[in-house]
Amino acid sequence: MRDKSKWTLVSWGLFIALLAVGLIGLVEKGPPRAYLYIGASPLSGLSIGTADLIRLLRANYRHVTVVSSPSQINPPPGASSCVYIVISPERGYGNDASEIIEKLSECPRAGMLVADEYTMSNPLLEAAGLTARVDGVPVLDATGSPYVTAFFQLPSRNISVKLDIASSVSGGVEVLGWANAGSSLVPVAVVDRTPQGVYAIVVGDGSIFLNQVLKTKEYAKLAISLVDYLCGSSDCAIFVEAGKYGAMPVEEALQHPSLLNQLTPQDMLVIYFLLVAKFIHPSTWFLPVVEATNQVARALLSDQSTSVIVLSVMLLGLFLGTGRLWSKVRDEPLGEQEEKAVYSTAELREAILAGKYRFVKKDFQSLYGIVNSLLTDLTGMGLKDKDLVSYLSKYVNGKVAEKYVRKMNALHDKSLGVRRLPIVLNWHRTTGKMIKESEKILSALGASLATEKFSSREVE
Amino acid sequence: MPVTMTHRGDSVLLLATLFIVLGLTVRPDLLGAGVALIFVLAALRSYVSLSAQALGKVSVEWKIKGRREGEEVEVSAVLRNPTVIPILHAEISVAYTPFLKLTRGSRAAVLIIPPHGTVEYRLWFWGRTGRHRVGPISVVVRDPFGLFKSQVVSIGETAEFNIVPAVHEAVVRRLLAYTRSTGLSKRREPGVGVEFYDTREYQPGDELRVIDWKRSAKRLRLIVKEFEKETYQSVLFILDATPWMQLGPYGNTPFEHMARVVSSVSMYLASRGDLFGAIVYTGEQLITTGRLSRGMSGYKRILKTLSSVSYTEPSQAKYPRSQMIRAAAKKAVEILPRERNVIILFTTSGDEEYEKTVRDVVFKLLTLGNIVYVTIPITTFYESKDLPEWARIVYRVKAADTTRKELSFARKLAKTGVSTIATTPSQLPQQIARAIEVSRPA
Repeated sequence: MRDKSKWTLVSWGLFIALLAVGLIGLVEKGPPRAYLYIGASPLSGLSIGTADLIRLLRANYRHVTVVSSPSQINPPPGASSCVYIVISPERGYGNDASEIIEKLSECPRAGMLVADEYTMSNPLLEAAGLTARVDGVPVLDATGSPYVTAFFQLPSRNISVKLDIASSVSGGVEVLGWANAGSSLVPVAVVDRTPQGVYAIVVGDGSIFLNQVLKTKEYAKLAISLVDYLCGSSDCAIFVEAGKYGAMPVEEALQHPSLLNQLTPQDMLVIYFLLVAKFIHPSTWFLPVVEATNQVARALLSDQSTSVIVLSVMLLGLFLGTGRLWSKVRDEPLGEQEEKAVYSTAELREAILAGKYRFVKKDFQSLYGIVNSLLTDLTGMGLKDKDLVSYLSKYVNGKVAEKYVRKMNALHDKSLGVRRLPIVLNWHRTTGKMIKESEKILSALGASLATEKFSSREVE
Repeated sequence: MPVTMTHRGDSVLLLATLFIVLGLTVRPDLLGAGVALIFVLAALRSYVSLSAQALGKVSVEWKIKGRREGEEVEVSAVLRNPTVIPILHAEISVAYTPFLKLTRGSRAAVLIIPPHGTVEYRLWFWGRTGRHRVGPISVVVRDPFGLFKSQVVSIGETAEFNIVPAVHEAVVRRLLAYTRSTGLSKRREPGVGVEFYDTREYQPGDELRVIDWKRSAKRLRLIVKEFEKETYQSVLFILDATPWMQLGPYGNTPFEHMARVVSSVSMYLASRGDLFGAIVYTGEQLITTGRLSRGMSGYKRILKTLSSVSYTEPSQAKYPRSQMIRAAAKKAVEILPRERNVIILFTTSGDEEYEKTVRDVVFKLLTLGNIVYVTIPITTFYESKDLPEWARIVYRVKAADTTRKELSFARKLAKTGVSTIATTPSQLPQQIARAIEVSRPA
């Protein structure tokens, strides 16, 4: 079974290619749009947003929609009531107010929850035919602080919360909430109703619905209680306005200290993450990096010496990189079968053929023995025999024969240590010389040291 | 099968990357050339990979012609490619026994094996007595430019063939003439046998079955056939074929020479109607002709036995010589008839232990009533044969000590009563024939 550690499901080349395609795709798609929503936008998760209100409502009601225009207010079939919620709008209402009322009227029972410290939402109340209005006058307590305690009397419960720069509210058919303004109680929340049956709760403070307070149980209960009052049942379609708030690119937010002052450290962390996400997106850095690389390359290549270094480095890198794709080996021809001839005297043969041999005293003794045997076989006489010379004289010059026989015997005695003369300076030269002379004598007799003639013996 | 890039491919890759780098930086027209080179490299690699796969399916069929020593042996390898992929550049190298000599052809070649096609690759060796092997074939595939190569693979099985020793007809005729002229071969005599000798008149006591009725009717008197007296001799050759007998020049090692002698003498014995056989002991096994036989069938068994010997080096011998000669002697006792046989033992000299073993073996065979001769070829004579004349002289002088030791081995055996033949190679067949004839029953 193949070793799993060696399985390659996706090669490096494919991986890099896909990575490059992905990068280019992201660059073409453009940078991410990271915006900060200003104010109590239901799209804002910052502490001054109302995204948590949306989550709270969705936990209690099935149909909760964030709308940014009246055309998005579409009551679902089967909804027994529709409630429109707007919290501290940053922009006022114009013709869209009547459109909103018209859309809400499609429901059997319509309601509005308006929480505003200013008079931005009054045109909406007017368009609905309601008498309740946000005065736009801050309620202060006995010490002059705008952080007043308010009491809300609701059918289901009574809730007391702290308000943050709330406005008084006038008009309406019933006061729902009072704020302790030092010596007197000021209405900060009223219930209103039109002859056409449109209910409304107008609260002079939107901050009780912000993310930073909805984590507190009292505020969450208050928010749900107010919506419950308007909905009447769980078949309620809730539309939360999101079109009345501005949006600012996150990188611009850092240039607005007034905005930053409103944010908590957690909000700043969110902003920083958004900035990082924008920064690391390839569309932010890829093209500038490519352009910078081009400029650097142009600068380097314009100079001859640096261009050589750059090209060499690129060449080396590309070569090594592509070279890793294929394993390499030094190419050599296949080995050929070697033929052998084995000899027991291989070293001697090689030395002789290479000329790397030297005759020594013992070799002369061997030569003497061989010649003596041959002469004995051929003539019946050995080198020591007195009649040999006369016999050889029949085939070679007598003096030559005599000299040869005498010399062979003398050298033989010398080699045995029997006599001191003749002086032999070099046995190699002497033996070589005597071999030649022996060959002359033997060839005259029709023999040779080169042939295999030796005494044939048969022993029984 | 893995495919690797060669150093040539590396150079082309370097060139391609150079083109690409220059194309990206200074000369855009080079970029295309660089990319094209990369594609060419990829294509060639793919081709080599395909060829390597086709190579795995190539089959090899061996054909061998010629089985005689001293003649050329033609060995053909037929490579068959059953695939549709052409193998354009297959480098092959043929393995064979290192003790064979190639006379024609090449040990390595580059072949083109077409798709659904065959290629016949021939080698010629100089025939040498014994058992030899050819194959398998090592192959590596490359692209035509040598930029990539495949792994080396072996294809085909090993083919084995036997070469029989040559018989020198002249030697056989010379043996016959020698034995007759020297009076060693017995004259024909009438007696009990199967060979027709002559006719004569019937004498009381002659068997009815020998009456020649045709002649009798012609001559109007009883004529009988006379047959030649059978004087056959059973001969056993025990041949040492251990690695020490296989040292020497090609075609002229002591083993090969002894094999020629045995085959020539066997031919002589076959014509004489004698019973003969052989036991060959190598470094690993015994090879025998089995029971002794006569005539051409006996002769063919001798050739088969001699041609079954494989060549090895002394270091590769599985068992020591002493052990093998003892095993051969034991086998000899099993196959020899229970009568007086002539045993010719061929072996080279050895150390003291081997000398003692040879002596023991010979005496054991002698005690069973056999006649034993030991033939000791002198290795220095064989090892000087292929030297130039001047080198032969020097060799003879320098190797005199070695020659003396080998002769001394023979003399020591002879002194202990072993009949030893230590002679020149050319004289050997005659000496053996003489030994057989003098031993022939009267």
